[in-house]
Amino acid sequence: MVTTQADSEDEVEVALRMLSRGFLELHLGIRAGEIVDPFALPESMGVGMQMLSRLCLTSEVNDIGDSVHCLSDLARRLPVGDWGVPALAAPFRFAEVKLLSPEPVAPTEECRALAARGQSDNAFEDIHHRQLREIVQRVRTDRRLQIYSIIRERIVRKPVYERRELSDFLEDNGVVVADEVLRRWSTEIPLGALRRDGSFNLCGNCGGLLYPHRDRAAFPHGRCRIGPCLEEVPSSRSGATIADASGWRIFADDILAYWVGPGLSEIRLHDELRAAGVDVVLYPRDDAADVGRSHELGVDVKSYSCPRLLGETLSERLGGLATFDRRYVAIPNAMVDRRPHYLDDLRLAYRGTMPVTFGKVSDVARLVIG
Amino acid sequence: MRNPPASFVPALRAQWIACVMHDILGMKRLSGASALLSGYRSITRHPRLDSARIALRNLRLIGVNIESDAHLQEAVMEARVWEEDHAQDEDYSEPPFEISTDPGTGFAIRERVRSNDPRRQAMLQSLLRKLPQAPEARAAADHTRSFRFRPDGDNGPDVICDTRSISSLRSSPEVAPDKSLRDPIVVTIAELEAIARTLDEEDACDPTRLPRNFLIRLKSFGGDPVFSVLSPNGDQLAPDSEISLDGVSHMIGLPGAGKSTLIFLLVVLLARQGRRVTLLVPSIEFALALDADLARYSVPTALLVGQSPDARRSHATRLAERIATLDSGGFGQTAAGAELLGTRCALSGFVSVPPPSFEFPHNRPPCISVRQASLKKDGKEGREGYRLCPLSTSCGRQRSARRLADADALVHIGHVISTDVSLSPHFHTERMRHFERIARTGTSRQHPRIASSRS
Repeated sequence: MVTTQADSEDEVEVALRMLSRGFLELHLGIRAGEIVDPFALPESMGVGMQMLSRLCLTSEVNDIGDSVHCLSDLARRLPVGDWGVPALAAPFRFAEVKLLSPEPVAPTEECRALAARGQSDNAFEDIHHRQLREIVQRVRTDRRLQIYSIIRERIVRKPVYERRELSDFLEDNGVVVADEVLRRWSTEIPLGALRRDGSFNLCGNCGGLLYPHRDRAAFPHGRCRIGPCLEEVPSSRSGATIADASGWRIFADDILAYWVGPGLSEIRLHDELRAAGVDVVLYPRDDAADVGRSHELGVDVKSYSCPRLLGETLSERLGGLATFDRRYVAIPNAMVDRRPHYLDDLRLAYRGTMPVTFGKVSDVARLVIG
Repeated sequence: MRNPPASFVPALRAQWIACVMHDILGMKRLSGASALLSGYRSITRHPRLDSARIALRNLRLIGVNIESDAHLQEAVMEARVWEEDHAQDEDYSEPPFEISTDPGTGFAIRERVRSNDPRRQAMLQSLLRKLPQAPEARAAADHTRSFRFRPDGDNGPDVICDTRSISSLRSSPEVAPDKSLRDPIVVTIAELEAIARTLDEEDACDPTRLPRNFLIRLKSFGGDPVFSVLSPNGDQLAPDSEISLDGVSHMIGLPGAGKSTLIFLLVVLLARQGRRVTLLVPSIEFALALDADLARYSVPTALLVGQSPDARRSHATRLAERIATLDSGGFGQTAAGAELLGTRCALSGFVSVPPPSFEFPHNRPPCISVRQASLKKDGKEGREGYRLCPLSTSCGRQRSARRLADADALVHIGHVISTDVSLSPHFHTERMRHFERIARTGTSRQHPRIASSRS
């Protein structure tokens, strides 16, 4: 295997950015009801794949840019450095990036960050985030500023819900207007999650669905399909059994991937701080941070596999976090424990002008509590 | 595909038919040629045709296709026209037979030269020996020099490709050598039970696998055999402990009798013995499912499917639709066979001078139609000609063709129609179709052909 001059880091990064954009655009189509059609790929996906083929051939390794299915399966399972392409492997600085989340399958936050490099700030803004903000704009109550946080927190805490109960919740909070959108964002309980008697289990850790699994010894109550939850609790435990699925719904895969999965750490942090008497809220000021208080304190929880990409992305745009006086970026404990020197590399890669404190979720909680 | 004799002219094919029918079979007219050249075993194996069998087969192999009396008349007329057209040529010599163009005479044959005429003898001898396989004359372009192709045939603009950034290309796979004599293929019941037990153990090692329970299909829990083997013994059937596969051409049985299970176990067993097997199944979906099943037990396979753009598009689309049913519309999902039905051509990454509004023809890539000038001894470029794409040894779109050529891929799975597809010119030195290759391939490892009972 050789790496030629043609595989300059710039060329490799451009290829990765094109692939990221490709996956995002492909996923947009999937959300609109399309299927992955290898003969009708988004242009960015096609360009990304052809650049990847070039990298493979110049490195004398197997071409992996020929099949969108094999490639997206690879991107779901492995960080780019493990794809078998020398140009994408260490010491390439983004070798640890994972483009797709394994369960549910969706472009990761890192994928979005890569896709957005060199683009305008909102080029790849989360469509759900935008829709939710639009709902907030339509609400005319004193609690308008809290509505975003309330709805988002509700989704993360209860990704599987009973329709009437959710309607009551929205009515109590004066946001009946969100009922229709939340219904659109969710589907009925999939048949695959139902047991023979029509009942289904809720995950005791995240509140998602437990799917019956072939390995009954490891997953006697079923297996959760929300990746970060499985990382926290590898052998899923049942929190409740619902006898009848009628009236129950679950949020769509991309909501589970973008909000619920990453939201687990955010909720833990929020609850820990509240329990310690720190007055914080989730997603303050239309999601300016994940956990925060007025303009004083803001914490963003980031689940990037690659600390260098996170550092560079934060250097380019700190987003809403920049509006807080005290700024923290918290990394899920499991991620830091799994990858040595994660925080060191992150601090090295961050070249922003605004001071930010980096730490594990548990360390940040301790720092904030004092 | 065989190389025709040097003196063979397609327009004079009636003369060659006459040579066989007159000089070998002693017939005085060509009527009946369509039956002789039909290829039906009931005809070709008739004892009266023993002396002409090779010559008739050779005629078919070089493309003498006479399926009806109309075809025959066309061949006779074409030969007559050719004679008239070339009668004034300096090097013209009259063909050895005069064939009547009147169907009423049965296309009567009259000798123009004696039977010991050297030309007539040469025709006869060339038809009686084994014709050499046609060599693959097309060569790959030199990847260290730029080459070009035209996406719309000869009329479109040139697309220049520059692959000089590739320092060296991977080598072609080693192709399985031709078949040598082999011993009969005999599988004992004990061997079948052993492989069934092994596969069950492999399943048990992975809790996510649905166990296939092969052994219980051969033996009851009490250890009694579920089925018995009876072999012909004189005019009776006698119990036997082994299955001889030589000469077996049919397997019949009621649904659920175990035909497919038996075939599957045999294939795994033979492959693990290093033997080569071709499985012909009713559909590409069935082939892909079998491919997945065999891959589960680490059996090296290759997919025998049509490689034309239309066939690729049809198969890949159907596979994409199936993958889409797995989860997330197919996003982040794959299935067995997807790696063999790649749709993107690696050459697209090396286009250096794309014409305006150029879109790479991934659906019809220029695998065999890139153009490059030859290189003279003095280093100057000579005449330009068609070449094979030099990236075939690495390109993902060629993976299926590469694997079919690879001697290590022991089990080929596909539709019977796909056997009538030419071998990839990128990896073979002779031109032939897959069914010829199947008949010829073996080595010390043999190549039994097993057709599923549903095919």
